[in-house]
Amino acid sequence: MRYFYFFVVFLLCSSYGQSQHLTLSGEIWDENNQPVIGANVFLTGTYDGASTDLEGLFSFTTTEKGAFTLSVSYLGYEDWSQDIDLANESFDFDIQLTPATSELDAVVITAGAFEASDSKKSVTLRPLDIVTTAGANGDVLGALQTLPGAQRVGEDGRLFVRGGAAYETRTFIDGLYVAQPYTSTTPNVPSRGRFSPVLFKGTTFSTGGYSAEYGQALSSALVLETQDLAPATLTAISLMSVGGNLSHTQRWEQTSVAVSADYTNLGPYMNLVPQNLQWQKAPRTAGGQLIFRHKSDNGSLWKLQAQHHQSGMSLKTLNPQQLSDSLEVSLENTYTYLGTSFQKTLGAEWHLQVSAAYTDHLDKTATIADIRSRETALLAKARLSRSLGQGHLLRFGISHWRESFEEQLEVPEATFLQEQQEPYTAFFTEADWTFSKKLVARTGLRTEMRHVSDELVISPRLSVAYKTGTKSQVSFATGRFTQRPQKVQILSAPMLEMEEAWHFITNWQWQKDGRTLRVEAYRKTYDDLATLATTGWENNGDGYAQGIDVFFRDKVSIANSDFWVSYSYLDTERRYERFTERIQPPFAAKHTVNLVYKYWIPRWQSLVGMTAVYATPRNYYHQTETGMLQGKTTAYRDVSMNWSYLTQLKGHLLIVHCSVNNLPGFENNYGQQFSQQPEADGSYASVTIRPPAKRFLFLGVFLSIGKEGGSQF
Amino acid sequence: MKNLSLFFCILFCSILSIQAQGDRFEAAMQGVLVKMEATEGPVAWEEISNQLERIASAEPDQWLPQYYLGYTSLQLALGAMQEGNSGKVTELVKRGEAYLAQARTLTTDNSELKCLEGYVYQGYIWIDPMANGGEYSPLAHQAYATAAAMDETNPRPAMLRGMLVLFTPEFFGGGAEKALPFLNNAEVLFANEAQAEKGIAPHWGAPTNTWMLQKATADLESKE
Repeated sequence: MRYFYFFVVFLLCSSYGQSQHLTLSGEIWDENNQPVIGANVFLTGTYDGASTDLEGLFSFTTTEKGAFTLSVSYLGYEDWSQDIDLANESFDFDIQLTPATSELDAVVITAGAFEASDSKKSVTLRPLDIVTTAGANGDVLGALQTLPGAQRVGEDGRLFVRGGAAYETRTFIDGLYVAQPYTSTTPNVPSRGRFSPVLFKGTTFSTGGYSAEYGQALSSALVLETQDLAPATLTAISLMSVGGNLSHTQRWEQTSVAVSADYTNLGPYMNLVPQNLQWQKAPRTAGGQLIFRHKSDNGSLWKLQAQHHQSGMSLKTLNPQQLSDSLEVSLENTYTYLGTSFQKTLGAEWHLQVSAAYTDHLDKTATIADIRSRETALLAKARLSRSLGQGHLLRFGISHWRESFEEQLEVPEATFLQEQQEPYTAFFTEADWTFSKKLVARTGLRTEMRHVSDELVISPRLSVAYKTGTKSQVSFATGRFTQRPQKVQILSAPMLEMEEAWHFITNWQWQKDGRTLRVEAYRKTYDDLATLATTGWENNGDGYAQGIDVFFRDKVSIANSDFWVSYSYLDTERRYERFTERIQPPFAAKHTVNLVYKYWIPRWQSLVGMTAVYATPRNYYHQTETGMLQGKTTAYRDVSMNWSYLTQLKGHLLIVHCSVNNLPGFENNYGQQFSQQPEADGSYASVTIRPPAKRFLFLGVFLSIGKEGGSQF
Repeated sequence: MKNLSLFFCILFCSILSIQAQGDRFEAAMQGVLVKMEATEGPVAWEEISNQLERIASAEPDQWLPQYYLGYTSLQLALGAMQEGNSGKVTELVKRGEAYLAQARTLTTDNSELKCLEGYVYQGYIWIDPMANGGEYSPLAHQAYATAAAMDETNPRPAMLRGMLVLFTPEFFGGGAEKALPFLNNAEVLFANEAQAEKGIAPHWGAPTNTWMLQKATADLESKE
């Protein structure tokens, strides 16, 4: 009996070797019924398997018995598996694989949004693209103006989106809006963005229909996400025809600190190159910046950035009272920005982000009178998000902010002071729903309270995206967007209501191997816009904007090249501010075309870029006692070029950069500026508004000193 | 007594079976490594990747199959880069990164894994050198430096660092002259490694290093 046991156990133990061989074979096809070569076919949990041959055929034997899973894996395709019961007979399979939806091809909500993010995602524009776009002169906003939906308003420089005025675009850094993101400037001298593009790892330029997380923007949200830990220790020196910049970044294991100082002065350049404006003191800026990052062991990240800048300029301009005389205007600006954020993952599902920011913006303008205009903003926000599994996501948060405006006017015998404190509170909640691999939706609700007037606004938002093919998808977005009236209006009429807009956007996008094509149609209706009546400011304005935006980018068709073309068609009318009727606003051009081309020449170690812009003439107006004067600007034409040469200096990266705006010297004008007093014959004298100079030439050398081949870009 | 005998018998058999399983793993890995050493060209790498995937499926507690799958993914990504297929490079680099993460759950951190981490960063540079070089080049350098410090006899950190430098344009701090110290160092370490009995432990890279060393020397001569 004992031997019997031994015998049985021995049989069990040695059953591997003595089992019958079973053959598993078959064919594997792809979605186009073509054989799949090199797919891996195997019994999960065993060594048994094979790769498919040139005909997509496989065959292997196994000695396993019982319940197993046959798996097939192949790069770019969904894993295939089937439970099988291995008994005595052999198997023959006929398997068809389906293409995997990779991260790059996944359905995403795109209506209204252009994302320029870090390199890991599928993106439209990257930070490096911004720096290398000709005509943008390293300005984030300049580069974004080459995207569809943005208007070219040469005399202003700010972002005008889809028939919206400049104030309708709000900039957000790490979730908090930034008061005064543009440099201070005098009328008809274009301003620039205050923040360097290299600060940000991600830029989302939304031309409408954006998330409930963002409010107080009627037309557009520019959402900027700052960089995490600096990658390496680096010292950077920039010498430019208009100034210089010195910065040092120190990287420790879990912490990085960057400090920089910069100075720009357009004086020497303007003395060399003839200017259209009569500068008394050319624009100059001096300032510094501090960036701190700390990542702790538990994965939380703390960010802090601070900057302080002082700038000034002075020029002779036309006296609006008596056009013949010239009037000196000088402007001094002080700007301080402080922003901090903390993010942490709580448990497996929750993610917390807390942020706070402070801005202080002071303009001192001296003309006939001295005007001291100060704007400060203090903001705080907490946001929680939670994954609900299966692609569903919930986000909600609260923010509170307090803006304060101060306007002091000094004339020889008197001082007038206007002040206003503006506290707000907002709640938002938003959910992403993944119904299937093809269909996602985002629903949101934003509630905002303006405490001064006890006004409560509830804004619903909705976006849907549906995948129509492996490379294409359609999206739709709608929502209500509100914004407080502008500073000048609030100061004299604090009880004004918020202005309102509804967006309806639909788009189609196709993306394949470095090519992107998207076509977007939209309609936007405005209501409660602030208008100036004889009795003061009222919410009597309204309007609409509708149009089509087209964007095509191709990084692969021409070797070493990257180009994009954008076209915007815009039809808009509005009644707001001083308009007595609905008219096409002066910042709207019907057609705008941009062509951006970049070409890398390896032999010359050079990147050459070209940006060409054409925008049809815009209207301009002048309100007189008898009615509205109307005229047309010239069409806006510009061809800008840049050239960057990459070389080394004692083993460190040196970039020599040269750029010219409006190379052909097109004569653009931006309309007329009228005298406020009529002449004896009842006509109004006027002068033409022109760009500060016909061309702008920029030269710079940028040296990056780092041990490990890092770069400041 | 009967039960005791039975117990011993089962114990003996299961030890035998574990032993057999262990031998099987060693043998299977050995077979793959032999193929790997003889390999040139992407088709063979795909076959190697498939074999490793099967071994990993049968041996879910072993880190080496995951490690080699990570390495193989990167080798395939290198091939895809030479074909100019950046979408495929992206997929393969991310796959390599996922295998590395899986390997890390199965063993304590070591020089080879840290080195593979650097190679993954290098893979991100292949996706788009102009856009990604600035961010990932320092990360790769740091990972290789740490890997070299974790095991001074490991030639792969020096070899891959040499590769990174050799194929980085001179104006970005690369080039043959700067790559040579790393490649020379790796060559010495590879010679020492050849003396040691490595079994199925990582010991790849010597022929590539020799090739790079020749290329770097030739580059430098043609420059002079």
